[in-house]
Amino acid sequence: MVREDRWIAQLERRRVIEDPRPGGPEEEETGPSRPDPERSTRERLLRRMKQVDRDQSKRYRQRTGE
Amino acid sequence: MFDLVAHDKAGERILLQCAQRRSEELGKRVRLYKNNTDYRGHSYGCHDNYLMRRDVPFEYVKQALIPFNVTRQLFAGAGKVGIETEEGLVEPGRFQISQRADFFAVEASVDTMHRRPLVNTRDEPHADPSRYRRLHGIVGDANMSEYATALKIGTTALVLECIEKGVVPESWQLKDPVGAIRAVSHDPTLRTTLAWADGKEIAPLEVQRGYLALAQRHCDRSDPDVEWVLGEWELTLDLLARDPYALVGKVDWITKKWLLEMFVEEEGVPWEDPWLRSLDLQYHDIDLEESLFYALQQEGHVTRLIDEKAVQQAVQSPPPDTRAYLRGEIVRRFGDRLASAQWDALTFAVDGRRMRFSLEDLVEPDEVRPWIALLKTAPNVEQFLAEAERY
Repeated sequence: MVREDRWIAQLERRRVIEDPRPGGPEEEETGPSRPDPERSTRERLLRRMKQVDRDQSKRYRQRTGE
Repeated sequence: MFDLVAHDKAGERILLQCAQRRSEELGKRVRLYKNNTDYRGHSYGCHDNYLMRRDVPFEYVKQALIPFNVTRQLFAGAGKVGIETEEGLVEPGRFQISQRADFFAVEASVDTMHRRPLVNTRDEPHADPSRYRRLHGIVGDANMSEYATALKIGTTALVLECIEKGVVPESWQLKDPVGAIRAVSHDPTLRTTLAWADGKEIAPLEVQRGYLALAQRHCDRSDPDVEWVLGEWELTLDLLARDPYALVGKVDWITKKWLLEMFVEEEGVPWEDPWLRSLDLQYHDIDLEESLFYALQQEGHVTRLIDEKAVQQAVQSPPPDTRAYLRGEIVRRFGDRLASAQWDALTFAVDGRRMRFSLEDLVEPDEVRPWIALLKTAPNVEQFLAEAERY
């Protein structure tokens, strides 16, 4: 297999553990930008979710193979 | 790429019609969910398949692909309420990135239903097997988001191009890939790290960035689809690191998590309540009027890549430069003269004779187009076959 040693070495050096915190350390105080839908949208979505039969997952099961 | 998304969605619409007809027959509602788990330890796949060059050693394909497959869920995971084993739910209140990650047991094998592998070895190319292999991917979740579907398939195709070119370093091997796919999935905060075989640690996002860098350097960027995938891949990885909620409406697991968090905050329901799993399930209902995903899409919070017209067209017709299109058109025009239709050949019954028209080598659009042109000008099946024999 083709090896591009110098370039790969650069990539290897990038194998550092960056801070993966959502928002990063600078934004930790304010938190990530969780989308805040308009109130009417939020209400419609919540209404749709409340209409979901809370027990439907209990009745759901796979009956065949893949 | 967008054709592929249209056809994925077309599959949903066709199945929805089937469900609606069956509902009418039964007099009760039949629901279909495009998901990968029943929360009882059963999983069913969303398989993605790729035609690859046969001459690339499979051991290298496997090694080079595994770290990508382990971390692709960062943008392709569909999200799940609960952690499972094959025995059932073990932590019902934990949200994880992938629906499917709990169900992998080995690095490579031919199985799809038990002791599932990260790289499946089933190899049935729908083309000349001396030139091609089929890479049968079983590691993915079923995506509702068009964007996630495009990114999932597009990035995988680019990684496979890199593998075919032999540019994925052989040193990229995870110490415990099977444990790693679960570790990534179980950590939606993205703080987990993985260990390479040499003991060095790496964040899953950095694994993806490594593959992205390879693809940016080595893939053919003259194709606009490739440019789109590279650009969105880079953007998505950056947003995952900086601001994951900016991916609501693009990445399924983030979209679902956001919806469910809103519900939990409003209702004060604990995450282990079965209602949360019911909402998870309802995200995946393919009915446009019932699905929580489609509710969000109707509110304009989902990034679309195609419109409904393209989906409906895809319900009726394959992409116009493919073998499937040619086969479909032949069936449409000369169906009454066909004895059989398979992926590799059409057999005609003409004047008491059986005549086989091979489709095996019609893989690339340039290989298909002349036949489509010929079909369009042929006045009848006899003429078409006579011309075909001359090729």
